[in-house]
Parts: sequence; structure tokens; C-alpha cells
Amino acid sequence: MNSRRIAIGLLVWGGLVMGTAGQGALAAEGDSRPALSAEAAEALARAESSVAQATARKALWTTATSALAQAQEAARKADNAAVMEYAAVASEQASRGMAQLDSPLTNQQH
Amino acid sequence: MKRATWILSCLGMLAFSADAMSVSPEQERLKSVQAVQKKYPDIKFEDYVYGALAFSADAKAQYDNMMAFPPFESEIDKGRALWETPFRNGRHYADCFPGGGKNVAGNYPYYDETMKKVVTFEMALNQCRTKNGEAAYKSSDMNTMGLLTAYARTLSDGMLMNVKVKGDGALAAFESGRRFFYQRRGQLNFSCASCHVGHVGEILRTEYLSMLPGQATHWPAFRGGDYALFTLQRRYSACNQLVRAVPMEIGGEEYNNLEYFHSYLSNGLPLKASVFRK
Amino acid sequence: MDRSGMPRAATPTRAMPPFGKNGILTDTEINKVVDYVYGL
Repeated sequence: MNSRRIAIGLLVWGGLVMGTAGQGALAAEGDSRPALSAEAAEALARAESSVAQATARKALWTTATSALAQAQEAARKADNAAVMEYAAVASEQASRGMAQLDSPLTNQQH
Repeated sequence: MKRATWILSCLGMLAFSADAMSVSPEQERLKSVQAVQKKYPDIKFEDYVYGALAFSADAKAQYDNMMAFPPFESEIDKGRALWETPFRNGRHYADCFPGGGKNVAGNYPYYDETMKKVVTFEMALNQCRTKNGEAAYKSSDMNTMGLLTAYARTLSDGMLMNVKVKGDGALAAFESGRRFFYQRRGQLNFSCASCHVGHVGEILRTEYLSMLPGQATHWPAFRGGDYALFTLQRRYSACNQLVRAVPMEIGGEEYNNLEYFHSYLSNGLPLKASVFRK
Repeated sequence: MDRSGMPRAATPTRAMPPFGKNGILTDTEINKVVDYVYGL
């Protein structure tokens, strides 16, 4: 009798736990995908800002825009490492584009 | 007196060697023509309009064959239909231009003192549209503005480029275009001049590099195996992308000023629109 | 010498793209090109 009670109790308890776990899993599916790390989000924001500045100064390189697009795509997948890598490229290429504005004109003869 | 003379001479030399802003548009044009003549004395000035074709007899022969029966004739016909179709108010494009639109394209671009900006031939076509109650075409749309200008410009075939730069506003726009031409851009760090002044007649990516004077005379062009229609500013956009620079807006201020400078540098050379290019 | 393998001469008209500085080629790719050129 005791063992039967224990078995029933275990079954009920197990069912409750599984049910809760199941609901938890459903809840996780219903939530958005895992969030980007703070570091990756910051790198992406910096890259977006650099590209926006280069755009405003009419000094944007195609390599900066494509790296930013790849960073944004990686962010949608919460791939922190890829976001960091592509955002760094986008920021660097955007900076180089703006620095290029200071290069001398090429109209001087040798 | 000797000291004063010496000081004045130094100042004179400084002024002479200053940045080319102090060089007039005509001096700039002559300098660019002379540079080509010096490097390629056997190419006649009037043949600068052929650009890369001037360096290869085979390529020029291919061009001549193509132009005898252009495969893109039907596209020019579409442009003619656009030009000849009256606006809803009954007027025509021909009413907007002197001589019905014949021998006008060589006067463009010009600097409009009232609007305080450069006006290209395509802008003038759009001004004609809006003045007659029609919506302007997008300058970057080759299916409307491209086709229209592909026909409209042929009415000026043979006209010599005759762009004027007079007054402070015009000079500033010319200078802005000149600076664009000589400014490095893109990840590859080339200016337009890197190729089309510094390495004229050399081969890059299997093609000869055309000379600056003459470049603006032969647009639009139907390019390559699919005869894609390229206005001059669409070509600017493509060139900018080739050096990995995000292009400017077709019909925007930068490309308009560039076209102003670029066209002036082709003054004295005959126009021919809607031609084949590889 | 810089990563493009060329001396950084201050020539405003020079046409050599900055392969290393601008990230056009990676260091590995530059090394491969240099090896190839030396082999010519």
C-alpha cells in the first residue's frame, strides 16, 4: 500500500515536474532567440555609427557596408563572435574611408 | 630695388606653383590635352572621342562594324517614341529647346545663376516634363530617362562640346567637379585621375584606359554583350563601385559638378550619342 | 616598408593600392603574392 502510494506520488510529482519543464520549454520557444552579448551589441552600435558618419561625409566604402550587413545578419542569429568580427571590420573600413578625405589630390605631377 | 624685385619674383613663383585652383578651366583643359599629345603624339586630337578604342585598331574595327548596324537600334527607337509622344497638354520636348532640340546637348551642362547649380541635359529634359505637367523621370532609371536621352542626344551628333564656365558660382562648381575627379576614393584608393590621367593608354583588367579629354562626348553608351544602357553618370556610379566606393546619387550635386568639369575638359570635340562600348 | 610591401613614399599620384593598410589583402595573401613574384 505504501509502495503504491509512493509510486503514485512519484508519478504525480514527475508529471508535475515534466509539465512545468514542458511549459518552460514552450515559454522559451515563444520568447525571442537568445540575446546578443553586451559587448557584441556595443560593437555593432559602434559600427553602425561609424558607417552612418562615413555616409554623411560621402566617404563610405562598399567594404564597410557589406561588413556591417554581415554583422547585422550575425546579430539576428545572436552569433556574438561573428558580430564582433564583422563589426570591427565595418568600423575600421568606415574610419579609413573618412581618413581618405584628407589625402592629397592626385593632380600633382611627378 | 633689387630686394623688392627678388621678393616679388618669389611671390610670383609661389602663386604659379599654388594648387591648381588658380589654374583657369581653359588652362586645365589645355594641360590635359597636351599631356595626352605628349604621351601619344600619333593619336589625333579628334580621335580622343574614341577613348580606349584609339589604342587598338582591332577594337576600333569591331566598334565600326557594330555601329554599321547597332544591335541596340530598337532601344534608340523606344527613346524616339518617348521624345515624339506629346505631353498631356499637347506640347512636345522639341518645344522646350532651341532648334527643336537639334545641336543643343553640347551646351550642357551649364551653370544656372538663378538656381545656383549645374544643370545637365537630363535635368533640362526633366524641366521640360515638369513645365508641361508631367512627373519628372528618375535620373537613374535607364528605362525612362536613359532611353529618352539615348535618342534626344543623337539630335546633337557632330556638335562640338561647348561648355561654358563663367562667374564665381560656375567656377566653384567646376572646381568641385575637378576636386572630385582628383580625389582618392574607395578601398582601392584610386582617383579618376589615377587611371585616366596617370595611366592613360595602359591596360587595366584587359582594357585600355581612356584619356580624360574626349571621355564626356559619347554618352549614353550601350555596353558589353548585353548592350546595357549607361548614361555618363551611371558610368560614374559603376566606376566608383569598381574602386569599392559607395557611389553618389545619379543626378545629385556631386555627379552633376563632376559632369560639368568632365564635359568642359572635352570642349572642342564632337559629340556622338548612343554608341557601342565593350 | 609597409604591409603592402612598398616603401611609403609621399607621392600624391602613386597608384599602388594600399593592399595591407586598407585590408584589401590579408597578410597571408600578401605573403603568397610576394612568394610568387620572387619566383618569377
